[in-house]
Order: sequence, then C-alpha cells, then structure tokens
Amino acid sequence: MVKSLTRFIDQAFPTCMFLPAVIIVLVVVGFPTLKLIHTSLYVRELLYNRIYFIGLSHYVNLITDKLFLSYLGHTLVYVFFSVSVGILLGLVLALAMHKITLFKSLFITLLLIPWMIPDVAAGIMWKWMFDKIFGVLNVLLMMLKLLREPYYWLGNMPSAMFCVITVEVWSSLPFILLILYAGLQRIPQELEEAMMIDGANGWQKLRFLTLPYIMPEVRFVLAIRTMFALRAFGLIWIITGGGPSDKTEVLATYIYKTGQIFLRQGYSAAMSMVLLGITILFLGLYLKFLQVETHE
Amino acid sequence: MRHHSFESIGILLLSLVFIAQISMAQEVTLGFANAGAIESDPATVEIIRAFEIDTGIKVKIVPIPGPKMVEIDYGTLARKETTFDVIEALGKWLPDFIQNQWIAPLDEVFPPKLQAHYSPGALSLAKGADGKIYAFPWYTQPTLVFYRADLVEAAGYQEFPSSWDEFLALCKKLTVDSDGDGVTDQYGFVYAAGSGLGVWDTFTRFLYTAHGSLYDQDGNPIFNSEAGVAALQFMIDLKNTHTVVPETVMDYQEGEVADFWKAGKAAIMWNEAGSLILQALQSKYGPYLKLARLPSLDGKPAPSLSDTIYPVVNVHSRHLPEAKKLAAYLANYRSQWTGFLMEFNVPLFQAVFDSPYIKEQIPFSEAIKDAISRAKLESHRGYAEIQDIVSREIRAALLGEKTAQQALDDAIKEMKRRNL
Repeated sequence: MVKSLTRFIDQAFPTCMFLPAVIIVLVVVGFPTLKLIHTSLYVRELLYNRIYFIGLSHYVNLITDKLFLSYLGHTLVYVFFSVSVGILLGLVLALAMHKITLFKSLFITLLLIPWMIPDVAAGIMWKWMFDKIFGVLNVLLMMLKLLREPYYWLGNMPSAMFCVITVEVWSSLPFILLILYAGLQRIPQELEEAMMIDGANGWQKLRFLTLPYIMPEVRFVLAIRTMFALRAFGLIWIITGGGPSDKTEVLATYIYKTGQIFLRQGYSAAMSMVLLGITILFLGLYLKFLQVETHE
Repeated sequence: MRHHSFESIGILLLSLVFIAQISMAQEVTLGFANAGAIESDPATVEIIRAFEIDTGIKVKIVPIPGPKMVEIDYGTLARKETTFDVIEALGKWLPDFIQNQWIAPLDEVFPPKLQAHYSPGALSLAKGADGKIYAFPWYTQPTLVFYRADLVEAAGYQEFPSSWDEFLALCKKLTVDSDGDGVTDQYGFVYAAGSGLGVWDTFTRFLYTAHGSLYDQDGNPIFNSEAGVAALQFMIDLKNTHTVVPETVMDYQEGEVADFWKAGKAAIMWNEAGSLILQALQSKYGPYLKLARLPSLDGKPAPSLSDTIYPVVNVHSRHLPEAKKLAAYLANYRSQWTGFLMEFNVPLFQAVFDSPYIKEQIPFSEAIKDAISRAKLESHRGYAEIQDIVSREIRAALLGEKTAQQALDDAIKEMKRRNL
C-alpha cells in the first residue's frame, strides 16, 4: 500500500506543481474569454437599458456592417505593412549588429530606446513630429530640399496610414532586433567559415545558411508581431484618433468606441470574438506553413 | 515574558488600526469628478474647500481628462459604480442621464423659488419628463468671436462683420504670407475640426448662425436641411476654396485652436467664452483682444451655441444627502460669483451679472451677457454615438470625399440604422 501511495504521489506531483499556474490562466484568460463569448450573444446596450439574448445575430450583422468591414480592411493593411517592414528592417539591423565589433553595446542600447518609451509618450512625440506647421519632420525635409512646402502628413491619406505604420515599426523594432540577433548567435561559426571558403556570396549565405537557421525566431517574431499589430490601439488612438475622417480607424479602436463610449457591449464583444478568430487563424497559418526543422 | 510583551504590543497595534478603519469609514468623503485638470479650475478647488469648511464633509476631487470624460462619466453611471458621488456633466449628456435614471432628482435642495434665479433655457434641459429637476445649471460657455482688434482695424473694419460674406472678405484680407515664401504665415480664421467634439461644436456653431437646428421638436435630426448644408458648405469653402483656414484644423480641438490664435498664427477664432478669455488676455496678443457676436448667414442676430455645465448626483451614491448638498453648493450664488471672478466661468445665476463689482472687474461682460441671451443647446439620447457618426461624415466632407448634402444625409442614415 505504501508502494502504491508513493507511486501515486510520484505521478500526481508534477500535475500538482503546474496546477496553480493552470488555475491562474483559467481565471485570468479563460473566464474573461467565456464571459466575452456570453456577452456577444446578448444585446447589451447600457445606454438604453436593453439587455436580452440575441444568439448569433451580432455576428450576422457584422457581415453587412460596412464600417466593420472597412475597418477590418484597414487593420489587415496595417498588419501586413507593419509586420513585414518591421521584420525586414529588424533582420537587416540584426545582420548589421552581427557584423559590427566596434561599439556594439552602444548601438544595441541606442536601438533599444524605442522600447523604453511608453506608447502614449511615443505617440504624442511622433504626433508633434508629423505636425504640418510645428513638426520637425517637415523642417528636416525642407532643409534637405526634399519638400518645397510643409506637407500635412496626418491630414491626408495614405500618408496618415504611412505615419502610424512607421511609428508601429519604430516601436516594435527593438523586440524584433533582439530576437533575430539572438537567433543569429546560434549559427555555428565553422559553417559560416566553410561557406566563405566555398566562395558563397552574401545572398547565398543569407538564403542557405542564415535564414534556415533563424527561421524559428522569424516564425516566433511573425506570430507575436501579428498578434500585437492586430490589436494595435494606443499609437493610432494618440496620433490620429482613427482620422483623418476614419481612414486610420482599425478594429481595436472601433471595438473600444463601441463598447466603452457608445456602451453597446454585446456588439463590441462580437467584434472582439471575430478579431480573436482572425488572430488564431493567422497563428494557425504560420504554424502550418512555416514549420522547419530546428538546427542544433 | 518578552514573548507575551510582543504579543500584547501586536494586539494593541492591530486594535488601533481597526479602530482607525472604523472611524475613517464613518467619516463621509464624497467623490467629485472634475472636468479637466484641477490646476485649470482654481475656483472649483476654492469652492469645494469652502464647502468642506462649512459642512464638515470631505470631498475628493478627481480630475477627468477631457477626451475621457464621456467614457468615464457615462461608464461610471451605467455600471452603477459609486466612485463618484457628484459629476461635473455637460448639458448634452443630460437626456441620457435622466432617461436612464442614472442621476438623482434634486427637488428638495432646488425648490422652484430658487430655480427662478437661473437661466430658463439652462433649466429646461435639467428637467425630466416627470417634471422633476435633475441638475443645477452651474456655468456656461457661450460662443463668441475672439479677434485681434489691431489687425481687424488695420484691415479697415471698425466693427466686426455681422454677415458671412463680410466675414469671409475680412478673413481673406487677414490671410497673409508676410515673407513671400509661399507659406501662409497668418491665417484669417481658425476653427476646430478634430474628431468628435471639436468638429461637432464647430458645425453646430455654423448651423446656428445659419438659423438652423440639429433636431426638431420631436427629436428627429434635421441638420441636413438647407441651413445645415449651407453651414457645412461654408466650413468647407473657408478651408478648401478660400484657404483662410489652415488644413491642420483637421487635428485641432478647441485647445489647439486657442494655442494657434495665441501663437499669432490666426487673427480670428470662434471659441467658448470662459477661462479662455483669461488665457487669451494673458497671451502675447492679449492687449489686442476683442470679443464679438458670431456673424450669421444673413447678418441678423442668431442663436449662440452655449455648452452648459451641471453638477449631477449619482443615483447610486452611498451618501445621497451629502452629495445633493455639494451639488447645490457648487451652483449657488456665491460659488457662481467666485467662479466668474476667478476663472471666467460664465454664471447661470442671473443676479451675478447685476453685481456692480462683477461689472467693474469682468471685461467683455456685456458681450458675454448678450451671447447668453441668445444661448442655445440641443441634445439627444445617444449623444456620444451621434457625435461620432456626424463628426466622421463632416470630416469626410471637409476632406473633399463627399459633398455637404451627401455627408449630412449619410450621417442621418447611419443614425437610423443604429436606431438612434
């Protein structure tokens, strides 16, 4: 009996060890998600004291909601450009950092600065930089003779979308850089030397050695950045507020307005569920199509 | 022995903490949601300090940033939270607050005899369909023209224009590229066209000066009328056709408009008379500041948009009698007198204007009194969502994506789609 008790404890012990973490995740993640699903099945308009069950009607209405579809389009554009440009730029910088020997720590520290600045402060700073009359960007471009007169960056499309994507890339660059740089450290030096001896050029080295080696990191960064870009809110809210007109309005800002300002919480919950679904879809696609063998 | 001594000290300390908690719980502290930073409202701070001394009731002032006011104040009441006992509310919100029964009636602290001292227009918005009064009119912010008298007189105008045509002619004269580099250094006019409240208030001002209205008597939106189209078209023309207004107005709320004027970048602005008068007077161009009535489409006196502020009592407050006392105190004669002197909070207690000291101390008091006499404020249930819809369409028109008629028609269509 003692033996079987000991065996039971041995088997149950690992489960008991991670049970607290599982409980916390269920409470912090699971419960709110279930609550969100529940809310999305109701009309819950606090402004009109209307709360009643409506089933999947919100989801059906979303299909014909022109504003929702338009903002979904804006979101996908935002995600595509901010993630792809961010990763490309991050890769270039990581490769450069990999090569640099002089003042490497200084460059890394400088490149990490965007990460240290809170979103709100960064948004306000960039908003002023893009300002037509008082902004430093126009002053610099006019000094370099690239502009003849000040340009209204935040008041025109597509420049407004370009501006918010630029700031998103700028703020996400440190994260991408660090992850990819860490991946580059895993590449065995002997292989690099062997390729040099074999006469491989930079592009061949990148294609046949570097990229395969850092693909797990690329996939990780792609997944994380896509998740964050899909729910981007703070920078857009501060810099353009979704404007001009509603040309930089994305799903996250629309969900926020609908739920918190218009107090239509059921509809807002349904939109949140759709956004969650899109996020899971993207992650699933990445996992399926970017599977690579890991190199040890 | 030592062990028992530590135990005794521990029990004694715990008891003291427990007793302190109980006594703190018995002391009433009201939560007051202040619109904006406390630093900008010295009069409110003084009035509340006086209230604390007079009544022994403590008040915790919580500043609510302008852009968050709708979200926080509406959210607090809708979720039946008790964080705030008294809220500084905009008149536009009252239909939502009253119809949802989120705020407490104030008849016992605001009897008819006292009501007679307040502006009738402001009172009507505070009354519910049940005939009860739900808010005190505290102060108002009538719209006036703020202009540089030195520039306007140099342009040949001894009096400010009264019609849109004359106003446009003046703005053209005052839009100047002083150094000939192709970049306008001074604009004739600046208005707020930023998302939400900025462009909504600007459009409403133009609408009223075109003798139009937002809603009819039954609450149906009618801002796509001839007057509404004329108002929006004039806004568009000022910016896009005549370029007397900078295109950066698309980012401006009223604070940025004031900053633009104070920096000398514009000669004229339409803005809320109130603490802004003090700020403008203290700016570099303060000595040249004059106020005037808004020009109208046909030159005849028109209503003036007048945002009015009311202290309202959260119906879920745990200290209803004390909260009602605070609301009444904030809007009494003495408080309104103090607010007018310290902050230019334009009072709605009419006797304040008759004070000889006020007449002597407050510049432009006649212009302000004139604006209040024509004050107009309309509101509708679902105000925040309506404002969002309409401001989006107006901004689309200002960007040239739609005509004025299309924009206003689309706004009403969207309101109907959402059952607003």
